[in-house]
Amino acid sequence: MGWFSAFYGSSIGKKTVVAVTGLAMIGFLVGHMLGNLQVFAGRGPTPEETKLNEYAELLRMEMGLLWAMRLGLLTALVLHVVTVIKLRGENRRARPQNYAVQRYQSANAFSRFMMWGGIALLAYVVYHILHLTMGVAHPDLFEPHHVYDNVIHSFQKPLIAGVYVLATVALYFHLYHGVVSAFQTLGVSHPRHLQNVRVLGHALAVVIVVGFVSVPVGVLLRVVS
Amino acid sequence: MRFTLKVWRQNGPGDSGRFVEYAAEDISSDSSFLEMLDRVNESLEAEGEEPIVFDHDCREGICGACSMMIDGYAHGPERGTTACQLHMRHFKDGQTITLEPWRVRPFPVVRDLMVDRSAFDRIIESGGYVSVNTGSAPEANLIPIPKDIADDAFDSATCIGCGACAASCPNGSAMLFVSAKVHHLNSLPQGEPESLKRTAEMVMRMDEEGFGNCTNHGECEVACPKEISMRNISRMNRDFVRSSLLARVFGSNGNS
Repeated sequence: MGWFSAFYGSSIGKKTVVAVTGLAMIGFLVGHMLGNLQVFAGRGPTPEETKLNEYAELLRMEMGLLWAMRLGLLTALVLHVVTVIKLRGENRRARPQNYAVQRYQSANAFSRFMMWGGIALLAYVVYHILHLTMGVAHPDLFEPHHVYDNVIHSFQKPLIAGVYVLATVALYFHLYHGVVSAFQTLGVSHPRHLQNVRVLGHALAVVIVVGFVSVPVGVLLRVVS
Repeated sequence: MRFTLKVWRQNGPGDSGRFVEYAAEDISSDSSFLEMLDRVNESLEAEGEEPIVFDHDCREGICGACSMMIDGYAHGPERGTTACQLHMRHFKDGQTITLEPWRVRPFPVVRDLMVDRSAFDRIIESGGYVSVNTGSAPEANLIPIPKDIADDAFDSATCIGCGACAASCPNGSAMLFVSAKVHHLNSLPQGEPESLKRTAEMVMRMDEEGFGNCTNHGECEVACPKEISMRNISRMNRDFVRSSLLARVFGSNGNS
C-alpha cells in the first residue's frame, strides 16, 4: 500500500480519487434514476403487484448484495468528501490573502459553487435516507415495503416535493462541472474528445436531473397518484 | 491621459502592506504600462518618496519578469499580453487602476509589486531538463520529429514562467506552468526516456512548494500571456497516474 499512500499524498493522486469516486456515484445515480421512473408505471391491483414495489423487493432479494452495494457507495462518498476537504485545505493555504480586485474571466457559477452544491447534496442525502429508507423523517407518511405509497403521499406535500426539486438543482450544478472535470483529471486532453465529453457530460447531467425531478413534479401535478 | 493608481505598498516580506493612491498625469496613450509606472516613479523620486518597486527585465514580453495584477487581471485586461507589452490606450482616461502583487503563498512578496518566484525555478530543477552526455553538439537532423509534434511541444515551450497562472487561479495552483514544462519535454524524443520520472518529480516538487490544486476553473488559460492550453494539465495527470502505477508494478518510476 506504500505506492497508494504516496499517490494519495500527491495533488494529482487526490484529484484522481475524487474523479473516480465521483464517476462511481454517477453510475449509481443513473441506476437509481431508472429505478425511480417505475413510479410512472402506476399503482397495481395490489401493493405487491405495483411495479415500483416489485423493483424495491428485487433489490432486497439478496440482502448481502444490497449491503455490499451500500458499503461500496458509502466508501466512495466518504473518500470523495474527505479528499475534497483535504484538497480544499491545501488550496486555501496556497492563497492566504485575497486580491482586493480580481475579475474572473472563465470561472463560472458551476465551477465556483462545487463545494456548496456538494454540501447541499450531502445534507439532502442524509434527509433522503431518513425519509424514504429508514422512514423516521416523516413517520406518518411511511409504511415499510409500501414504497409506492410512501413516495406518493410524501410528494403530495409541496414542502417535501420542493426539497427534492431543490436537491436536483444542486445536483445539476454539481454534475455540470463535475463530469467534465473528472474526465479532464483522468487525462482526456484531445480537444475533440474533450468537446465530446463536455457535450456528453452536460447531456448526462440533464438526463439524470430531469429523470429525478420528474418524480416529485409528476406526483405534484397528479400524473400519478 | 491621466489615471489614478491604487498601488499595493509593502516594505518587505514581514510588512503587512497597504494600498496607496497616486496620480499618473500626462501619460501618452502609446506608452506601455511599465513606462507609465516609470513616469510615476520619476515624480515620486523628485518628491523624495520611495519609488514603487516592480519586477521587469526584457520589456519585450519574453522574460516573464513583469508580473502584477492589474485591475483584477494578471498582466492586465488584454489577452495574450504581458504587463510590459500592455499599452495605456487600452484603459479609459481618468480610470482608477488597482495594482497588486501575485498573491500565492509560494511567491512571497519581496517589496510592493515584486514577488520571489524561485519556487518555479526549484520545480524546473527537479525535472525540467533532459540528461545528455556532454561533448560535441549532436547532429541537428539526426532525430526526425513530425511537424505537428514539434509545433505542439513548442506551444508548451513558449511558457515564460511569469506565474500568472498560479496568481490568477482561485486555488493558487501552478499546474498550467508545471504541465507546460512537463509536456514540452515529454512529447519530444529527447525527453521521452525520462518522461515518467520527470512528471513524478516535478509534481512532487510543485506540491512541496505549497501550490494548490486545479479544479478546472480555467482562469489560468485565460490569464496566460502565452495562451498555453489546459490540455497540458490533462496530459500531465495522465503521465502522473501512469508513473504511479508503473512504480507499483515495476518498483521504479517507470524510466530507470
